[in-house]
Amino acid sequence: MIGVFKKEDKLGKKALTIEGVHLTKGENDILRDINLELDRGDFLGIIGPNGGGKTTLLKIILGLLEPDKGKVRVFGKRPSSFRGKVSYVPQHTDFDAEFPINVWNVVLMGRIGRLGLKPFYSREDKRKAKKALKKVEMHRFKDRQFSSLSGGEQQRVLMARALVCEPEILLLDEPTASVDEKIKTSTYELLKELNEKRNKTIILVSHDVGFLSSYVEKVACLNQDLIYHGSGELTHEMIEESYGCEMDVIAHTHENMKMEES
Amino acid sequence: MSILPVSSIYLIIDLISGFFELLEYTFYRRAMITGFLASIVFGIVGTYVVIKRIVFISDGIAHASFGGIGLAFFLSHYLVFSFDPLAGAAVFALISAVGIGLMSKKKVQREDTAIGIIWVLGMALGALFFTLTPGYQTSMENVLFGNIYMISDVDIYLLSILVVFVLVAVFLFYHELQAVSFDEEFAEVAGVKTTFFYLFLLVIVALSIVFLLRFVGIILVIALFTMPASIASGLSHDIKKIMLYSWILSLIFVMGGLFLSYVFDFPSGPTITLFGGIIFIAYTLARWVRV
Repeated sequence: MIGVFKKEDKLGKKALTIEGVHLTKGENDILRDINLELDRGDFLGIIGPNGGGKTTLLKIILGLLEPDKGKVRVFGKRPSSFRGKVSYVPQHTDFDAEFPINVWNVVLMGRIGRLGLKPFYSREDKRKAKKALKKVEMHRFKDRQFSSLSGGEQQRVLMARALVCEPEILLLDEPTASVDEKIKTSTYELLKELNEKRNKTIILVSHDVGFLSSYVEKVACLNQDLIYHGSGELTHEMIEESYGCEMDVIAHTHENMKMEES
Repeated sequence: MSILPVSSIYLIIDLISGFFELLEYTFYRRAMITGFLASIVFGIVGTYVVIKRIVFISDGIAHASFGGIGLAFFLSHYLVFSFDPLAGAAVFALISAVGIGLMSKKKVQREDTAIGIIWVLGMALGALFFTLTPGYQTSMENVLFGNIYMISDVDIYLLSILVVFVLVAVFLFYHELQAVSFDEEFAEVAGVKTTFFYLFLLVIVALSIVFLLRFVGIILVIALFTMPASIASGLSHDIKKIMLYSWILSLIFVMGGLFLSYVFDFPSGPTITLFGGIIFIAYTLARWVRV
């Protein structure tokens, strides 16, 4: 336990600080004056319409994109100089459908930051990759070609890859976009476990407003502006404010929320 | 001699034995050794060119190097020093590799536009320098289409060094290169210096093009970086196996092409390319019909 506390002291309590982040593309604002603070162990859900800047914000937190204005700090450091402690699960649609790689090698990639100059993965790396694959129930697919899997299966493999990184902060970009209800539930349970038992900080982008409000502590809405009230309460006003005129989504959301309540 | 199957077999045997007698000629032996070494480079580097989808970038680098070759001939003609055309090609290939690589990373220009422009600027510079340098017309054809008669022992030594360098680099950085090719963003987040490895890959491509310049020439070189690896990638989903199959296919293309160029007295570069091209088209059509 002492070891754990020491590690916490070293990393500090503030997991993420975003101050006045602004990004424009051409004449359009992608993100407007985003401010956000997360403590270690927070579990934040981000909802918002497509094109609302969700993926862009994740990429800024990951240090893959530089904002035009504002600053981002992960445990007090710039994201680009704090590699290996933040991991993410991208959308499975981002991949080259013909790339020759099997599931096992995709998951091992999560350990690449620890590889250094060694040409081979260690036994520990392989043990952890195996464990992560079992955790997402994809171990029997380990020799399959990654691109031959269904969207939901790919999503779970990408989840295992992020887990073997053993990150302090985990970012997920619609990890349940193409999975069935059963997998959806087990994914959220897995995240809940990581968050509660291992004190990992999690940021989850999703359209599943229903699931979000029952699993996540805090919810923010992003539609160029970030509306964040700090509490777990997801009000209808928040959703309407962020989704704007996307009435379909709002109607759908209302239904989901009622179902959760009942 | 009557046109009987038996006599045609004799004819083939004659041709093959003639071909092996040719090996006693230094230039043909050099061509065979170069072909063997080249096939390793085509197999391994070509696999990355295909799976990372940098075919257009690689071809851009190849064509841009023409400017450096022209400049080397031009300077050698008008100055007292003599510049090796390979050195000129290397300088232009490396600058364009790093230039295109950084430009596509920083997104200052549309990537394909940038490649297209660097490509033609290199060709235009080369054409200009060759025109300004009298008596080098043949040299120009040699660098464009390759000429195995021009291969020297030094070229073979240089190519051997390149082969060792490629093998060591791929052994040491196999996982990094795989990660950068498959998912650059994740690799970056996990702590891989992705810009470095991407540029490293382009530099290997650039050096491979330069060292194989006399063998197949800058216009044809991309064929051998893509056709074997493309067929191989349809045969396996494992990058190491794709490299192996791609090497074997490259060897077949190169040796088959060299043999045919001897039989028909065709220039070797185009013959190798067309021989590979026929196999590639046959393979692609066969796949098409099956699907």
